[in-house]
Amino acid sequence: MISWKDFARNEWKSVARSPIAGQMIATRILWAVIIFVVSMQFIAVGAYLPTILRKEYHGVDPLAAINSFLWVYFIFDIILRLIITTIPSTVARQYLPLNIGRKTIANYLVVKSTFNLANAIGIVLWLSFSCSYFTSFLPGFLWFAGIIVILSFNNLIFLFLATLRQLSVSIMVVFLAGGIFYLLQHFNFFSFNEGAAFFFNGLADMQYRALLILSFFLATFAWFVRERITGVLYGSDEANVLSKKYSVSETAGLRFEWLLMWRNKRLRTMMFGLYCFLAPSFLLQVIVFQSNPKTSFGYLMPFMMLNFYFMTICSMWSQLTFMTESTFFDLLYTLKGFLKLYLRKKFFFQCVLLLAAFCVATVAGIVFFKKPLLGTMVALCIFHGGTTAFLALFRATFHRKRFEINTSAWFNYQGSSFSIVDILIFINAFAAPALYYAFLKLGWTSAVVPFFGLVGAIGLVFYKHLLDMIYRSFHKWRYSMLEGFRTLV
Amino acid sequence: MIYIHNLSKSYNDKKVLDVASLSISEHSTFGLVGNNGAGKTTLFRLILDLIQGDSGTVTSFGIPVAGREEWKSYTASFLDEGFLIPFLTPEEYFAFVGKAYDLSLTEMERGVAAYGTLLNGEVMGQKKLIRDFSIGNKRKIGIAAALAIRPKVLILDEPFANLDPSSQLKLVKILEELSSRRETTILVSSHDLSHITKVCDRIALIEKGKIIRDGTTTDDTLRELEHYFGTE
Repeated sequence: MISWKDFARNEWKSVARSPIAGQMIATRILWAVIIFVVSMQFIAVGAYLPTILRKEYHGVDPLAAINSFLWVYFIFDIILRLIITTIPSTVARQYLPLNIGRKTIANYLVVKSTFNLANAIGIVLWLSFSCSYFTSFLPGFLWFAGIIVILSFNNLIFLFLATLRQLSVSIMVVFLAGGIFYLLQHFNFFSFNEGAAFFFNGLADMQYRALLILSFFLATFAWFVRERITGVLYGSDEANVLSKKYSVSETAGLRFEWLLMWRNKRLRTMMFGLYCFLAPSFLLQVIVFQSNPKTSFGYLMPFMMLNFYFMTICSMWSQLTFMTESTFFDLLYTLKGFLKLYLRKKFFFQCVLLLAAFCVATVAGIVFFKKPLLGTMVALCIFHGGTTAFLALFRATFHRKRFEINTSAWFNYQGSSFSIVDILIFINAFAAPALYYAFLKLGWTSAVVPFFGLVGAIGLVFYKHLLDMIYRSFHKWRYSMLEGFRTLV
Repeated sequence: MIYIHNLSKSYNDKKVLDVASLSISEHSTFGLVGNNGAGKTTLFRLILDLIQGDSGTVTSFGIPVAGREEWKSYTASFLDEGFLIPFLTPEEYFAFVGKAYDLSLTEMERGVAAYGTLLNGEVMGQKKLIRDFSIGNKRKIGIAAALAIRPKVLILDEPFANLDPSSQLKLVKILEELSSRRETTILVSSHDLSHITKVCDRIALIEKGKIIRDGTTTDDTLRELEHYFGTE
């Protein structure tokens, strides 16, 4: 019979053999370095978190501070799963026709989803925090186990709701529940923080009763949910047929771009992956900045890092929509002159998304720092418009193998992932904040805004030339691109 | 035997399958023909419990396929490439499938070797992942895996599609032999009327989700089907 070892072995093979992992040893080393660096960042943040919180909260227990925000984190987690992700049984499709029990497949899906890379980053943070905060093993282990239980539970709820295939209704119910909770809190009938304290703080005082009660309820409900899932766990055949109504094979305007983005499950799930990646950082910032806005300028750098990540990813969206065009990329090439227009449209669409990111980041600046940081934000927006947007389009010309998406890789979240070539775009996400930091360290604070603004402005001024260059690159690599788009379907 | 009763399935309020009653006896070779979108694959998916029917039941040797799983241990199928695990080599895939059916590696290897003619030396030992094979070879891998476990019930959806002519003829021969041994209940759908009439002892014609003709294969069946589909 198939055992967990077989599933784990397959997962490992799916990662090691995926085009994302790359064939070259250099690519694999690069991946290993990136994963190591990101993991170390989160380990360091988690380890240092108790110190930061003690300093910022002045006498408040760091665990209580973290716990009070965990509610928000987990509620957002389940809401975003509902909105963004697709039916997860698509990743278990190969196993459904075989002689493998559906309970086993349901368990596999839950574990796979819980420990996917996006969640794993958060998990690393919490693990590091628990090791740093708790002085003895048992309470630390229980607190961390509680986090895993809740993450898994969120997965179970999602699987359950997804199998009902009534997502729109489910989303409404969740939002309604969220609205009711908000109103209850607003009128002081209920407090998230007090609720969190009730459930979680018992751990800090070695009082496990609250956790045991919570675990019992979760386990009971989880059992019910799993039974429900196994009863109706149908393959992607069902999902595929249902999603057919979303297939589109024509092109026009920005509105159409939005439709392509939203209706493409890979893009939606990628958005979720982004959320999972940023959520721990976001949580950290909320805890730190909201605690003491006056001193929060000391944490400007992590905030700017977040904005670099955020804006870079936003500028990537449009490029990512190339994934959706596999059905009609041949057409783009056969229509005379259309590709040039099409690339321009892509570029302008990226600019629109950047403006949206700019608005969000500026509002975040007002919330966290009580001042808009307008100059920096404008400079960043221009910088990304003049650099990342073009890098993203240029990246699209790479060989088909690098376009390929392996829906089974572990670090895919339910059917989506990044390719190794995306590192090209991440240059702005990793190198630019480092440059920003260097400017601040050298004391050239006043040069930051002009520098980033100028670099971006140069790109924007010469956008026609840059688009022409990209067009030539598209033309040069047309055969491999066309083949790549065809096989992507 | 496989028994279908009042089975229906709709997508977006459009009924794509509506089978009042259908029974497929043990050791028979049942063929399903119909135009695109007629409901052939939907019917097979319902028999394999891969999609949820709106109403009705499918039982396999008395076991309702929805809700129970015992039937899986003697049923093998290949409907499309989604049944394959793309990041495994064919050898690894065969071993994995064999394990799912409690077959030892040797038993599975022996099972695959029995259908070596179908694989034509293009699949085994190539050190290639399944995703890197051509569509035709991918289908051969899926079909060979289904055959190799020596199932009691074998379900193949359009098995001749995308195969080269020589592989098609080899597969016809394999299915004929399997059918003549009277050990396996075979369900096959195909657009190739000549192959399916050669292989199957009973053929049903499905149109717009309904079975409109169902009968034993005779010397006239091919001509009748060609007449129906307007090729004559």
